[in-house]
Amino acid sequence: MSSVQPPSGHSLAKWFFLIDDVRVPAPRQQISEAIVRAQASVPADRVIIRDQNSPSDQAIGDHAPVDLAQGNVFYTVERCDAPPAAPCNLPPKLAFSVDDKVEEVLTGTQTGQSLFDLFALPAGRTLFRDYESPNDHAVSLTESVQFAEGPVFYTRGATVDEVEITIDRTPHKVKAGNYSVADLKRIGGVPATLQLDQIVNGVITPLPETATVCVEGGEVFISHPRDACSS
Amino acid sequence: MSYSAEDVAELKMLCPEAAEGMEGSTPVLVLPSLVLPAGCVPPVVDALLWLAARDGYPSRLYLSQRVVKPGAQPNWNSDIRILERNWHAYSWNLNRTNLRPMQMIAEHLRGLQ
Repeated sequence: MSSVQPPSGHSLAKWFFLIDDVRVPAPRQQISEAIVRAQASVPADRVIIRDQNSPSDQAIGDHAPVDLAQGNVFYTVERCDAPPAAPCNLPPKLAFSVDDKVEEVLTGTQTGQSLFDLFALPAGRTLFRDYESPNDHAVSLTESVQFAEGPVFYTRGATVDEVEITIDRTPHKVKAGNYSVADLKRIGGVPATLQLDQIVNGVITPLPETATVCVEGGEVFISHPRDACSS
Repeated sequence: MSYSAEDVAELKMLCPEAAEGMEGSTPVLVLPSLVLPAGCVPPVVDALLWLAARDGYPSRLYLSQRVVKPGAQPNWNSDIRILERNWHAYSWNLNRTNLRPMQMIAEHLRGLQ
């Protein structure tokens, strides 16, 4: 199986594997037995087995490729106890991770809600799939979650009260409410000496230094110097 | 003075029909129906932002009409024809060139407050 392409604008998903009940971060989806062995410090006298919840679990050959999307739960046994390397047709165990906690399932198709239930996440949290980039993807409760697209998630606090404002073309997430001009300058990194204006219905509206702005979301501000004069 | 597509997009918040133009080799930005500061008569005019140095000013904001504002009146000191239209500008010196067009316009309009 090839690596699953991330949604547009996202980097590759983060991956991990579970071995002998220990969570180990993986550099990518497609790795090798050698990486599993090295990162989990598996001694040479033990064999790595992919856990398929079956007496005929599949042993991973030395240096064999390992696609974590085909199951990321492993255990080790002494070489003398290792099963044959014959393929096992039973579904593998799949481990999802949310906020570094791990839960194992047998189906790779979940939803945002099923992950909330699986991990007993408190209401009001927002679930994000963790990518190798700053632009992680917020997962809605009804959204389909495919294990093969990445099993690592995290949550953040409630964002229902957060809105977006724009200051000098840069968007900022803030809580809705009243803000002084000084607060807005601080949020936007605007020097205190500059004038802050709000664009209201297409009109440049200067804000007095003592003004308070009720932020509801979508407000646009610009800063500029105020030293121009008639000459 | 150069500007970017992002600059023009920002100006469309003020004037949805904002457009780029060229007068000779000089780029200008045309702002149809720019709303002026409160109290100005007329309250809305077409405007043209000249982004380069001219007449001793680092930039100039031309309006399609001479505007009357509350209090002391601006010193209208330029009547000129650009892009086949007559324009008027008041004396207002921004004293700097490192502003994006939106900031230039905001600062120029302070002369009509």
